[in-house]
Amino acid sequence: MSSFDLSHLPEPLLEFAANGRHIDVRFGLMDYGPVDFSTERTKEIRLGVVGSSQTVGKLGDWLRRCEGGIPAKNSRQPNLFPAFPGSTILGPFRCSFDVGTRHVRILSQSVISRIVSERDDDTAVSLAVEAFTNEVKDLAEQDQPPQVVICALPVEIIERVSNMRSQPSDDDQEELPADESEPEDVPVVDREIENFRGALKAATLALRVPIQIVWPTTYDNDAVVKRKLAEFSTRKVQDEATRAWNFFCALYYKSGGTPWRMVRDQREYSATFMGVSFFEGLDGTSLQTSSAQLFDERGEGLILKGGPGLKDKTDRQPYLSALDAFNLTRTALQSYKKEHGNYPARLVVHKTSRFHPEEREGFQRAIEQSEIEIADFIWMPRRSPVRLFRNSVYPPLRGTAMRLDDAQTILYTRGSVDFFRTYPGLYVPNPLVLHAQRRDTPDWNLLLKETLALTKMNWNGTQFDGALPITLKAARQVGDILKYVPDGTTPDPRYRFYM
Amino acid sequence: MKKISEQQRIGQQGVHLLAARLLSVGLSFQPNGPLDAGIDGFLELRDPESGEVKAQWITAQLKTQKEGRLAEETDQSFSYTCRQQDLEYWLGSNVPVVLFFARLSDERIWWKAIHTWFADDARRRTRKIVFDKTRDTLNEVSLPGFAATVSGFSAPGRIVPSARIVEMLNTNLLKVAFPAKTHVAETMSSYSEVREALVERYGSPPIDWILHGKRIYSFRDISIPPFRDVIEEGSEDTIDTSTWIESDGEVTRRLFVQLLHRALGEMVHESLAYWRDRRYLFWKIGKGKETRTYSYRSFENKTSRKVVKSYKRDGETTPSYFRHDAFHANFVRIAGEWYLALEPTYHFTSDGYHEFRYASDRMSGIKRLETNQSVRGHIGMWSAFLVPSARPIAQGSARFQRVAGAIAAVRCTGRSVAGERGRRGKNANGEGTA
Repeated sequence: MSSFDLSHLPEPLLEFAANGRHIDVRFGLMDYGPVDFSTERTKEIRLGVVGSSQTVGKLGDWLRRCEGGIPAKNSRQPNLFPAFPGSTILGPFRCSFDVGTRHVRILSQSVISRIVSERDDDTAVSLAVEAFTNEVKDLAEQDQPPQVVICALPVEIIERVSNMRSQPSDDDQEELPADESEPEDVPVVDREIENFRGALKAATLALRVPIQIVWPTTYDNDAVVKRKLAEFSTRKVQDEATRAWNFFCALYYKSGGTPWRMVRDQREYSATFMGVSFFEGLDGTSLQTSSAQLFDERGEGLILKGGPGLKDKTDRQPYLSALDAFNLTRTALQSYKKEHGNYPARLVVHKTSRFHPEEREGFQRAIEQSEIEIADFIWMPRRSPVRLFRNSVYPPLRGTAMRLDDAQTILYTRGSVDFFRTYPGLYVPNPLVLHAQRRDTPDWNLLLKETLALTKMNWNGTQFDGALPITLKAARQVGDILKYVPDGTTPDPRYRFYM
Repeated sequence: MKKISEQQRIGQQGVHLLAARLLSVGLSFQPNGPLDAGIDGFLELRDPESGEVKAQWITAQLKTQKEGRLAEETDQSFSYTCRQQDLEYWLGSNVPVVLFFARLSDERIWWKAIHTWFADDARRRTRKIVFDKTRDTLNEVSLPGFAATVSGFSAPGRIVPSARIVEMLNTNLLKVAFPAKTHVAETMSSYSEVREALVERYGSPPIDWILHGKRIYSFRDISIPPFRDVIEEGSEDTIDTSTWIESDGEVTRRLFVQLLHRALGEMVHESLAYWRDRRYLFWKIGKGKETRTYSYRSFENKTSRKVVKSYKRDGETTPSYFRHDAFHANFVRIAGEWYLALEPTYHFTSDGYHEFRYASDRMSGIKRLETNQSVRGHIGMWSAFLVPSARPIAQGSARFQRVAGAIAAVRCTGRSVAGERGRRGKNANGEGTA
């Protein structure tokens, strides 16, 4: 009789203001407010806006509309699409979002026309990046700069810069179901304009004011963006209340706020979670470069650019030399210490490819030098070969885990959700495989619980069942931006500049 | 003279029966005192595993009958007609009301959520409740229903403890058994030379061998034809398979997986073909045929499946394309054992073999429509096909076993998803999923 150890983990709680706890982001915020909320001073978030006269006008209308709240989508799941209660001090973020008149910049029609009529794709993108960057820079240099600048892209520019991608490769095809089943990040940033998005974020990094890119489809129900690639034409915009939820949540986090955090047991060691990933350089042929994403339970994210990746001869997976792995980890931990005053007691490293012996050596040396005694190295491949099936239309429950052996466990981070009373995704979900290559934490359940909680630490969305833990989720966004950061410059390490 | 009526006595017996039943399924029950105007007690939802309670109450009204037939009783159902004033009282409640109906003679109890049942105006006018004697029985299976009753009633955002039910999950794993000995022999030829030589001499030679570093590896005996002529004479040897896999880390493991793929391909080559571009095996179709059906025993029943299906445009006689069931084989090592993880997919062809021009559109189309259930059915077919009980197994070949009877049927204490019944084929976004 072969049988695997199957279990179900309860949905991890998140912590909000005044120790309030809830499993759901939106209800937690409504009931208690953001975790960093304090009654001592009222928080105002100063927003800047850059866009065409049309987008700025319509966005302004929508921001005012959101103040009074957006009604819920008509749905049979009362918990899946709650109404957005409003963006005022009485709303879920307990602060006001204000656009000062001095913080609005309109791109002239002639600038937009020049971008749209530019024949060369690359030049069009750089013109668009330059146009927005100039305005953001002006705003950032004011005496009282805005805390977040919203870049309200006009439809013409989106259509111009989104035609950049060739036909998706076979690999993308295969990934499509899994990727599309992830909750869409709103404000909508499509893969097609990733070049523009990455370049613009990279260009504004130095200005020290995070930007929020927004499509007209987010705030204008009548907006239509022509789809150039039939493959991705089915993406639908979420309901208006959900869009408002996600939009304001992202603004709140980007402005320096902490909407919620993981609930940690006091008896557990203080831990920090590091994702290590690789991204390809601009020319596509250069060696891959590594980056580290470091998150603590408060959701403070640190992003670091590391050394070049080497290619393993046998499996062609990129990996770090022992020295680069050491340097990356060491720098990450030092940044952590700067922030927290001490090193964490425990470090968990997540990686989408196998830990190469050289990397392990580098990681271990950095960990020892930082006097960290407990470390877990978890390899999470992109796809799990092992899957589970219920005898029902609905897939296994989120939180279902099956222990394969001492070193491997699968975990469903997408699946049927009791609280939502449905499976909130499309397609059959793929579980995560956690492959422990070093495991000092004796209890697998703790590792699973943390991983499940880390899937809820994505401030770009407010539906809590994110597929990937933030350590790996961030990797994708980060690489697309870091590749535009010239070598030799140290990019801003704060995660809110990258999301 | 003081008296306790027979009806009071029966009622009290019913309350005891109900309390015992509720406690036995893991709920708590507080009977009301003598001041009762139509609510006999309260039950509090409780997480049966952690014991946690969250002050989520259901009010209970109990009707007890000593024995005999219930109103309009058949094998399947019976009915109860409420009095108007009771109905008004219950529907005005700010907590859910459940009507329990107990019969002492056979100790059976049924239940119905009043607000849910009478949400329908027509029903409210008749004041009649029809109990389904199977579905409405009070037992452990009712717990998700209770939770749904409360969550349907409470404000959004309340977390209602849901009942754990035991459910069987199937995996996509098949256990791999392979011969204890692997045959090895030296050769001076390259892979294509070996293959050419075999084809030349023997027509359609087996594919279950690999060549690595001038050595041929196979589970079959390669000292006899058709291999005898391509190996160095006297170099043939056997090695212990499990020692070999462990011997040289990743490289050998990769060779072993390659050999398993070949052995699998050889085992199924009569029915399936391998599509190199996308690395899957798919059902072949006979010349001039338009469909292929495969009959098998799935997880539960005997069934059949169209494993090759043709699609015609309106008014045309020849199919414009074919859909073939296919799968990727992933060999994985778990706790020292080898498993085949089935990843079902599809192959789209224009003529039964060559890939259809719009294959990727069709593929993303069908993957969008697939549910847990359809993928499970697909896996059931493949595991039935790969683990044939009747088919003779070629000597010295790898074979596949369903794990634990059904394919790795594992018992799981899962939570039920309340409210999932009756919304088949619809996901949360309201889009149909087949």
